[in-house]
Amino acid sequence: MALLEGGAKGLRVTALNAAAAEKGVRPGQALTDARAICPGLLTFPADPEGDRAALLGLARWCDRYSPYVAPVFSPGSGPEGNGPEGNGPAGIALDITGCAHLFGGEAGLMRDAVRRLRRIGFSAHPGLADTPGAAAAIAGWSGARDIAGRILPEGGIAAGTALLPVEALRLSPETCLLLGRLGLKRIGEVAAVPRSALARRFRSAEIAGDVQRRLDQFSGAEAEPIEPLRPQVACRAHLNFAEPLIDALAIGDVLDHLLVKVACGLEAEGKGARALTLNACRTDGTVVGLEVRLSRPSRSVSHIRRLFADRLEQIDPGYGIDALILSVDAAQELSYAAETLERSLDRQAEGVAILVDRLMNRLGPERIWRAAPVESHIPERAERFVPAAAAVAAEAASPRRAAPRPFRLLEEPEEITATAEVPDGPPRQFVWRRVNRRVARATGPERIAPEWWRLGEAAIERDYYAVEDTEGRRYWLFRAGHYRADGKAMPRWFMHGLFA
Amino acid sequence: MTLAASTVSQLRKAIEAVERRSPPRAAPDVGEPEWFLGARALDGALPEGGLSRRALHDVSVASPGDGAAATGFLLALLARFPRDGDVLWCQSAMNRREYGGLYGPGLEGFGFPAERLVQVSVRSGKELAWAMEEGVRSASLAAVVGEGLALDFTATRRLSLASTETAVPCLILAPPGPMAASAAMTRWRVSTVPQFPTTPTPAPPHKGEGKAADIPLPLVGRGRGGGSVSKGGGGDMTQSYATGFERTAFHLELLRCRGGRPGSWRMAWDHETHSFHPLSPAGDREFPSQPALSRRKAG
Repeated sequence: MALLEGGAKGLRVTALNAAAAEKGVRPGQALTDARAICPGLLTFPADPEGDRAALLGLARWCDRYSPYVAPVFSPGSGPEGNGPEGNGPAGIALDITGCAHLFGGEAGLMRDAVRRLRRIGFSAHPGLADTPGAAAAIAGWSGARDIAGRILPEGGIAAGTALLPVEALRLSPETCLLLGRLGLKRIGEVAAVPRSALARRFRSAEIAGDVQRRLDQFSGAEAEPIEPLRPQVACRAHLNFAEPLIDALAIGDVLDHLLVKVACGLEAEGKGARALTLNACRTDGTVVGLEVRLSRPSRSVSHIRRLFADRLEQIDPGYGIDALILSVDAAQELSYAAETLERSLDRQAEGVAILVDRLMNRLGPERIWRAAPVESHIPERAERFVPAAAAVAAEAASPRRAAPRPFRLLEEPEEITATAEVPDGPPRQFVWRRVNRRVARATGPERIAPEWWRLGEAAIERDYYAVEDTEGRRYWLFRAGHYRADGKAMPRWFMHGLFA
Repeated sequence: MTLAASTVSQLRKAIEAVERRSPPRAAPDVGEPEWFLGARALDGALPEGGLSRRALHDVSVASPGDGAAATGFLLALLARFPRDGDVLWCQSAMNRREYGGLYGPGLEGFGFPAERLVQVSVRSGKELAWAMEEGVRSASLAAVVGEGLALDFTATRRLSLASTETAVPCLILAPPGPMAASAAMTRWRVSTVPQFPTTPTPAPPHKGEGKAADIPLPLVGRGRGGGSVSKGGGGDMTQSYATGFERTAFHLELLRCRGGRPGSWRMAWDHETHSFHPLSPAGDREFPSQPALSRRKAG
């Protein structure tokens, strides 16, 4: 079986399975050549986007082993080589510093990962070394069958990798070819060449620098940080299960356990959580996440627990969940003193904040708000919506409005047909929503000039009237523009708000 | 057959006791201020001499066009509410598109500061019931209002029980349409009343008459010496700002009230004093007692 990709020179093989490789099919071959070697070749179109997404998903799944996980892409022809522009997924890098003992040592962790991955249909080639470069080289090029052979002891990079081909250095194919022509076929040989001598052998300083950099990264002389998939978290707790969980009740119990751990961690740091994520790793290698946001920092287990509880049913266990990870994505200072003081000072405000959190997490943050006054004469701009959690300061000096304002404002002014007695007077009658209404009384006009600095020439000033119809219903409507003497441009009337 | 007065009063007491006992009521906090509406006619019809804070109150409209009046009445109730704190106002998105959203500058005129309002947009009756119940149960709000969607009986019952426990009153602004069964303690129906202009300050008595003739005036203004209620300027369409619009007249019907007396009133809400005043049946805005007295003397 092989995967194909269309290119400038026709269809080419991009990936193949072990059986095809045995017959002599090689990546990069044209389809016709491959077919000649192996007539029974099954071919499918390659799906680089899908591969990338799958790798990302798998990387998230690896979150169970370490918080520092990054997907790695194979070197492309670009100078950086391992950016997302590269040829495709190459692997996943994990920084397991301080994590291995949780899984029975380094070998135990690797064995566990390989076993779990095999169960969900991936064959994994692990490698462990002091530097990401060396680990990747082992993973990709070491022929060792057993796990122990794939772990380089501390400080054993030079000895362990000397025999690996130069391709393991993550250089571009052209550079590898060049090194091969120079007679440097193994990493040990390249590393043995003095730096100044190496630089002289290459035509451009760029290639020499590249080789040098890779070598340094390989040996650890140059740091190569793993850029973790998720931003560094303030606090984190996880639990792996021997048997997969399949019901939401059990998830809730585990969540309680994780929350207590996280809350302790937060308290030790003097922080409160603003955002948390609960990731559930399913047995089939997929991950479902549940995010919760808080309007003010908190480490109250009961509060956060209730925010999650409302939505736990959204987690679909699938074939079972074998790990739960709770991480704090954003945290803010919350000292113990502030916590108690705050509680005694405004219990009511805190109660409202807790309520707002619950509504927000269930309904969505855009569906709960407060209105804050804005200094603008344009009615629809006199208010702006702010998140409900932020307390709105009472207007210090509320401008005493001379003219009445409606307490209901339509989202958009609705055009009405109105007849006025005199050109500049209030309407005598008007039709709004297909009902004819006769005006019994009116006050106005209140002229509101447009904010010319915002709208430019297009702005039209409005004359607002508060009118009452014969049934006693009150409306707020305006005339945009004026009646003109020549009778050409007729002003338009709009309904904008309702009173009582 | 006649009953002795004592028997009647005994029966009354028994009935009262039954009616008061029927909702399982937690003991009210000591010093919990009462929710008076400020008009004797209204408060007298309610069982505790005011609205109960531990209950669900339902406000509906007589016709779809009365939505604004019902909102006004509800805002007036909130303005009379004696406790500070935030009010959770849940409105369906559909309702908001149709009748508009609450507008802060206008709310201030009704005596309700907009910064106390937390607004929620809901999509279904289920969400509305959930959000309202959360609000009532959190016990840190002054009141909870739900608008625009019909709630089923179970939901209203739950809200009413929650309100009894936490003393956070719950108000429902029912959508226009047939009234659904509800566990509300009081049910109101609000409609708009044609409102006639008045002068902001009453003219001194015995000033003479005639000015009042330019608008259809109720009886009070016509009698001898009744000119004390002068209605000058009423016919002028374009008055100075804020004349007449500082009051709102309602026709209020108390359709149901456990332990109270249903009734129907015409009331005006004064935007300045934040109080209700009765309107005379003919639609006058003044207190009926004073001019009626003077007319009797004059006659």
